[in-house]
Amino acid sequence: MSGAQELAEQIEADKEQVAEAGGRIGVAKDEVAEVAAQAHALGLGRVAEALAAVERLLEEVESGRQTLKGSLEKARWQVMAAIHGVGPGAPTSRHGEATGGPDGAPPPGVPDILPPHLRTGDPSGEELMGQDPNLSPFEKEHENADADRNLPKARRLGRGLVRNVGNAKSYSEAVTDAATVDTDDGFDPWGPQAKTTTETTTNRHPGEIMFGHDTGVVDATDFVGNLTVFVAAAVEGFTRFVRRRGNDH
Amino acid sequence: MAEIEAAAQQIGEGAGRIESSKQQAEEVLTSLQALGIRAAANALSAGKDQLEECLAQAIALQNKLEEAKAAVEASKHA
Repeated sequence: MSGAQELAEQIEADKEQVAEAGGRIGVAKDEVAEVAAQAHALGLGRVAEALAAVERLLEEVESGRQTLKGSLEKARWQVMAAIHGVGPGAPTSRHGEATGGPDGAPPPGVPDILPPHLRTGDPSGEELMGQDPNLSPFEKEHENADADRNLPKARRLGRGLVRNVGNAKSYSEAVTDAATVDTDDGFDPWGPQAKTTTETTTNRHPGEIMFGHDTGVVDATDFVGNLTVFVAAAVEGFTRFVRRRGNDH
Repeated sequence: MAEIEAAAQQIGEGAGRIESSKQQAEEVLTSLQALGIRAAANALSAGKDQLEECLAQAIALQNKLEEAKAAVEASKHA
């Protein structure tokens, strides 16, 4: 069915022609704007107004042209979907649906999508990955969400914690950050005029020597976030240990 | 004015091409339906409907460009 491929190419060419028209519309709009400004400067109010109306029309044309370009791309995609057998009209499984006998069974040898040797062009990424393209993005993300169904509760907890540790860490850091109170309120009992002397020393903090930076301040949010990760790993490790011991017995 | 004229001509040609694409889509759709390739026919039917919408948009654009041309002419006599 090379006709479908030719159709897709033709739609692509239509889209390019519409895109080219955009350039001309842009130039026309600039010219009209320039003449309108000159008319306004010369005190030709009516002319300037009329040209301003032309400019608005051209803006509407440009907006419509963008919409048309998008619609053509959508049409091209739908034709490609027909060629590759993916998208809204495609079967939900490889068994699919097809016309056939009175019992609804597909007639033998009649494919429900274009056979590979009649297709041209590359299959979609989803098709190559074996992922069902009819799933919404949410469904794709949670496609294996029930994979732990048959595991014991403790293991499910551990695996769930490890899987979602990123979210748990972010959440605990956010909560800690909100709860953290800055105790430095700028209270200065001696006033700005007080003089102070500072003694500097060349001795470096032991932490700085070890880690190469000032480790004098512990950030509460980092601590809580890292603690969350540690707890998740500990729970998962413990449940695996318990499971192994159970298997050994 | 010349640019508006050229843009209107280009959009007009585009509308003609889209019409031709729509007719080709109908032919391919008829073939697919005759072969019983239902899923592909459904997808292509959606594509054909989309092309009809594209054609309507192109014609609307062409009309608006004609309106802009008329407005430019009117501004000359303002």
